[in-house]
Amino acid sequence: MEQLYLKRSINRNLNVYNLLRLMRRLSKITYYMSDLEKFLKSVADLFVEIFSVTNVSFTLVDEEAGSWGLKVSSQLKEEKIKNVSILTTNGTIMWLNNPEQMLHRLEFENGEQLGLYQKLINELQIPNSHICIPMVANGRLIGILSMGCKTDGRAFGPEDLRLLSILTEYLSALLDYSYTHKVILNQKEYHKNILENMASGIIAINLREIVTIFNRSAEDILGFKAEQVIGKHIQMVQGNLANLILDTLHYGKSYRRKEIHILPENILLGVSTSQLYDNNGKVNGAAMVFTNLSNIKYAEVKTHKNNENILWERLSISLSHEIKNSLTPIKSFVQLLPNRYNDTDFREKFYDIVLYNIERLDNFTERINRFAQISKPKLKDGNIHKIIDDVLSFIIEKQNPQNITFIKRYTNSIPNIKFDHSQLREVFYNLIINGIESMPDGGTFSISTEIENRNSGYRYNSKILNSKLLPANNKYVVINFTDTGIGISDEDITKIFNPFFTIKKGRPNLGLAIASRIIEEHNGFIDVKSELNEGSTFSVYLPLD
Amino acid sequence: MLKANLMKEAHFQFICRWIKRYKIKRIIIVMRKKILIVDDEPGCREALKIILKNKYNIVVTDNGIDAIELIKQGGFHLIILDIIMPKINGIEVLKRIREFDTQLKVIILTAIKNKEFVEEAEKLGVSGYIFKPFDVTKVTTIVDKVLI
Repeated sequence: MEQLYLKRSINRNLNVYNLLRLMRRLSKITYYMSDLEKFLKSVADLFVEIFSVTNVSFTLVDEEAGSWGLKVSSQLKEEKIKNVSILTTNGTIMWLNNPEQMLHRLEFENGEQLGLYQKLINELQIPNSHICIPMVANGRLIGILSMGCKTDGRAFGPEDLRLLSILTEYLSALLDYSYTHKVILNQKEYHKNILENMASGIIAINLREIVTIFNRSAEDILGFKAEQVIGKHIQMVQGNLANLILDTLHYGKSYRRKEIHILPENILLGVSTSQLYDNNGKVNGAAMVFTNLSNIKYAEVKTHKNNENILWERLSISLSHEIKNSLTPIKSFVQLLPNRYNDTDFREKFYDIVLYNIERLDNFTERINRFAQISKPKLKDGNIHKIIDDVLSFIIEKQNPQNITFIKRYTNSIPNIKFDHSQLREVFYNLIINGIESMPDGGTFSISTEIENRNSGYRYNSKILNSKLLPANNKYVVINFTDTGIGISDEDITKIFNPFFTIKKGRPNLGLAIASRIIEEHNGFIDVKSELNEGSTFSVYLPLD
Repeated sequence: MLKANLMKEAHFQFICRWIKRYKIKRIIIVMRKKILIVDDEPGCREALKIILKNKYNIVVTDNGIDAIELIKQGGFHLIILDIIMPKINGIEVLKRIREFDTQLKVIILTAIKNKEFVEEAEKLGVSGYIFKPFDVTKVTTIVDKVLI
């Protein structure tokens, strides 16, 4: 009964009372907006009633896919229109973007508009459509409302069209709002998930210093539950942390990975803080991100200790080996003495061997001390070439090496640089002596100097250097010491700068270790190239500042 | 009982024993045993040589490679072998010796009491250990014991 009454009223008059009832019905339907299909179906059915038409259908735009999407119709079951893409430059669409426009079949008997119309109803699969009304919200097309002809065959009157237009606008706004609402909700969920599941703890406070965010990691690290803490003042959480974040909130002081030790939980936290801003750029809170460093620190300390232990072990093995080897002949000869002191031969041997080994022990201790106590270089300006020359002449004079040809190739453009003179003398002495000793039957020893540009990022083909952390300097003074001796095997080459590593008979070679250490203290490095039985080149790099 | 003189440079030691029961003069000729000492430390080599040369025939060498060559030539009753040597260490030498002679007596000479070395050495078979710095009497005792 009621329905018939409504029909007649609308067809003749837009009665306020009737309109109110219409709006009330529409409002009721919008309760179910969360289920879009059900909602649109109800609206479609309502429209069929109000306007007495054969069918009403809504076809929505799927923005992500760039095509038509959901179609809900009063007659048929819901369906989705697939694979019909909408080009936004499509004439129809551009035309339709104006909510004032309607595609009314009757109005376009022929011509371009009719073509558009046909195309549209083909695309949307609404063969019985009589009117297509664009649903526009916020300046963009979100769907098409299509209506069939009236059941009693009449034409659509101007009030009908006006009402239709108003209702469509209202509906479009509702749908758009609903869509945005969903998007926002999803984003909120998404962000919430991220915060909750982050490995770091997060605490956020608002302007009133009340905790607004307290994620799961924060719960784990600090031992509070979010319920206990959210909505309460930050001081309740943890005093030190509160001070940091309040600093940030009020004075804008942001912390970056500050390490603080908190009690009574007795853990070390790495904390970063920042201010939070609203849409207008005003501070409306502060946030703090923190991680528990205790485990990391513990692991670091443990590794360090392990390395230390390993070092001690290696050290003690090498030390005891060297010392015991020197003590052995001393002990033996002393024990043998009572029975053999009449033997001149024995007495001579005793003297030589015992004294020699005592010296050896002493020298060894000296060298260890020198290695362990390499002090910071006392930098003084000086000429590298002069130092090399001094050392070379000293060696030639004192050691008198046989059958060795010395060649010098100096680059004169090398400027004076700052270095510790006595330390570099020792480095050059060790390197030259090593070279000479690798050529027991004679050979050639050449010393050359040059300037080299090195890109710190470039990995040279060097086994030594690839295992070291190189300084960032680019320009170096390079001194090359080349011998034509026995060379160093690939296997040994990475170990030669190790203190206590020995290639020579029995005695650990601390010379290279000392040299390497001194050069490192000068921010330089030593590189080695060697071929077995052909020779080796030690290159000393000193930074040119 | 006849006691023979110990002849320093001679290769033979004469010991004559009269066993009353059989009233037979027994002459036991004992070959002077040959010992190879392998150690890269000259002081150690010299000391061991002096300790042992009265009773035994001593040959010394300073590296494992030469040692193996000498052993292959034959004639050694005991090898006194240092562990820590450059180029090729004592355990490696022992391995190679055992490849062609599992019975040859070897005494390990070392400054380091390292469990790993001891285990490996035991697997390969050693007759004893001398730790540096050693006691002269201990050396003679262990060598005599091994070479009975």
